[in-house]
Amino acid sequence: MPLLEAENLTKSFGGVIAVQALSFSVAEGEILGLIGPNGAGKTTVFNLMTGFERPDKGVIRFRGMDISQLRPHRVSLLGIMRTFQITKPFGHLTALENVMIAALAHGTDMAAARRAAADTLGFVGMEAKAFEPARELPVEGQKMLELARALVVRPKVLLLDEVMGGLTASEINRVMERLREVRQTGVAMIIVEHVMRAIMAISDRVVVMNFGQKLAEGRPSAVAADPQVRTAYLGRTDRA
Amino acid sequence: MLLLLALLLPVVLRESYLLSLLVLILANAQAGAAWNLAGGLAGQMSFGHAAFFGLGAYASAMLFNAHVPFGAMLVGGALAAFFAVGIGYLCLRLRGFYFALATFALAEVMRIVARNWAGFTNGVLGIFLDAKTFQMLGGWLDLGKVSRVHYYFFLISLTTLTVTATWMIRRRKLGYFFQALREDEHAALAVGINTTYYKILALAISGFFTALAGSFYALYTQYVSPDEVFGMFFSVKVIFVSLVGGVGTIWGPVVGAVVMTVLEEWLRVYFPYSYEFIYGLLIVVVMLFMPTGIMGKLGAWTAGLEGRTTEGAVTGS
Amino acid sequence: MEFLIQVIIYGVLIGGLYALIALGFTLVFGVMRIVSFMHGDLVMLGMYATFLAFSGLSIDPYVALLISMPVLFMIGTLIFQLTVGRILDQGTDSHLILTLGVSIMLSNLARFVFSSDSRAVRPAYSAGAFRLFGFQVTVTLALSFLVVILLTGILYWFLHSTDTGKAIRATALDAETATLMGINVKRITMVTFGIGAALAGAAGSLLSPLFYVEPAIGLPFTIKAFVVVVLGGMGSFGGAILGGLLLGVAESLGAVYISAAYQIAVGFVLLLLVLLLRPQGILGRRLRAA
Repeated sequence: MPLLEAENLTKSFGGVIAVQALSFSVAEGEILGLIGPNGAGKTTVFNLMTGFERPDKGVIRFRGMDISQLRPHRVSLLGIMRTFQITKPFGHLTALENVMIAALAHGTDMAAARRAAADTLGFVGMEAKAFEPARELPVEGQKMLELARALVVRPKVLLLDEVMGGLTASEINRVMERLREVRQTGVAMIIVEHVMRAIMAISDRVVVMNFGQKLAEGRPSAVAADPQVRTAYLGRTDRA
Repeated sequence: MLLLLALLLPVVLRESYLLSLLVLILANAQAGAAWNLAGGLAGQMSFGHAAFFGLGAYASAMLFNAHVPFGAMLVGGALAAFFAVGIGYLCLRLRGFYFALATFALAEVMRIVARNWAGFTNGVLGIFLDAKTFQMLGGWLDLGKVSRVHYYFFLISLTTLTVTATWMIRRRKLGYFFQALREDEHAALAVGINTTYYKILALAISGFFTALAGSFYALYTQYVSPDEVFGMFFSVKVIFVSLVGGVGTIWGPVVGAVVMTVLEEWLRVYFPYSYEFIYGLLIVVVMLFMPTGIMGKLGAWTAGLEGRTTEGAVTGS
Repeated sequence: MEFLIQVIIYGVLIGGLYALIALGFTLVFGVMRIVSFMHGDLVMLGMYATFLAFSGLSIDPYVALLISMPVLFMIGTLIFQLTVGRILDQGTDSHLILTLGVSIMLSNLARFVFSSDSRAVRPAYSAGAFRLFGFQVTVTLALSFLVVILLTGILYWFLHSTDTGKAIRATALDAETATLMGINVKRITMVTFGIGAALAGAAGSLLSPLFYVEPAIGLPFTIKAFVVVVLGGMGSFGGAILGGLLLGVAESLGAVYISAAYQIAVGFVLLLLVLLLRPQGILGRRLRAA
């Protein structure tokens, strides 16, 4: 049974259709890549899945349970954690405190939260920066902080929105390693990325979106060869 | 240690002017700390805290005159907390300017109602606290009969209570949730914090303590009038006291109260005509050059006092 | 019924003036999200400028407009340079507090210079009234309203047909892109602030024959501006006009059918209702959740 699934999702804003009749699912221990040109509706999908937006039509199910109408914090407490494309750190608090808060919100006490936060920061390679105010961290640091904040609560599902944006090649490799480790523990992941080699290498399956609709779905190699996908990304390539 | 010093002071000062000054400072500090809990720590910058102050003042005054002095303070506080929950729900979706404006409008509406509902609040004339009830208490609280010192001790306990509450909150889960609320509401939601609940809670706690301030005010001055207790000046003052001292810090309001009250009194004596102007000038100067307040400027030194794990300071916006 | 229409007409006319005040305010907000608590005090300064021109140089208040507007423009840009311009990147809470401080300074400065006594600007025709479609209208109110329409038209033309005006609108829509297009956002913001002040000055001139001129009159006008823009929608030109007319009528009806004392409360209650039910105002854009 899929862990998290979206069925026939539709959402418009004003007159603009952001997502249309979109369906997909992700299972335990699976990494689903979500790609598409800018404006394809990927972030809207994330917002819908985490309760920041309500779908106009369609339903979102977690372990078979309808979660479409839940508020964001409820979704989070179920174990579905997300990061944001434009990082949202708790600026004036330290990196450690940032991660602690997530743990605290999920029910641990202060001491346990501090330990878990320290461990998680170590996992993403940020232990050196634990006591720095979050807003003073460079971009990579803030991205890793977002990741740590999501991981510390031992989520069932992880929704990553361009977490590798702005990272160097070696940093990307490191993150990919970490994500593989996380997958080993059975966590399901949906990753939105523009860094093609990363997402193609790490995903078990890929969903391609364009203009709010699903354009293609399948294994990375299959999707990459799909002519419709190529057209969407590269424009028509068969003109002289 | 500071507390010990504070407790000894009245022995030395007795009825002097300095004692009244201290009472004023403490009152401002307590009210500032109360506001700061919601405004500074939780980021709910209310421009209408006079609503809570006035509620506490009027509730206490009316109960007092009905010869029910005991618990009048708590009733006032509870009323304000209740009111705060209501306000919280109403203003849930409002941010920044809209929130400030809504809270300001609410306080003003209460002021206008208090001014005009003569049957209930005695309108513009205000309410004088009944001397008979003072006598009932064996003249214990009557400023006419008893020295200011009693009030001073009472106020010290109140202020200590408020500041301690702030301190306790800040160091624990609740404090972190409040700060998350202030820093980024969406991120707070994403990590599992029920922002609605905590917004309303912050306002309720803050309102409760502010109402206590109002109750004290009623007892001390023995007179409440709508423009005084529901007026904009109070709302602005508590914001400014916290600002000068350091918004979002524990000791900021206390430091700010000391500076502001002393300055205010000094100005009133030497520049009686222009003291309001200088007040405005001060606001501008502080906003331009030290938005993090005094505690912010002292930065690293005060980290220990605040129980912070870092040297980072906290600003107002 | 006739009486009702009379009350509404009065409300519309005075509402036009509220709209003018709000226009300056919302322009400044639209450009760089600046909330100006001092806006009403700029109106007050305009009133005093007009008073000086009237009592000292016998200049008609409607002509004095030509003086108050440039003077307030300069004062506005000066204030911007010294204060507001330095905290542009901070949140609206900071703007509010800072401009509150300036507001206190301005009203007290006025008190120093002019004393707290109320002044009056009473041109010869101010007592006059005439009948319009059978309803009574005072000359000054009618004239003020007409000038408001004129100024609104000029402002609209300015924003849509001049380079500076278009730059202002571009900045209001998307400051980042505006910078990329070569617009000096800082300068445009300053100019906009100055224009906002000039509009406040104009409102001051137009209001001077209708209200007493005194130092403390700034704050009530600022509050009215707040209410109007929330009603109509922050940053919306049409919203300021609609909101102004709405407030004028609401106040007018409130004063007659409820009581004079609760008149100010009417504005606040309206404000609170709007904030509860439709925070973006009647013509404002939706406040997105995420």
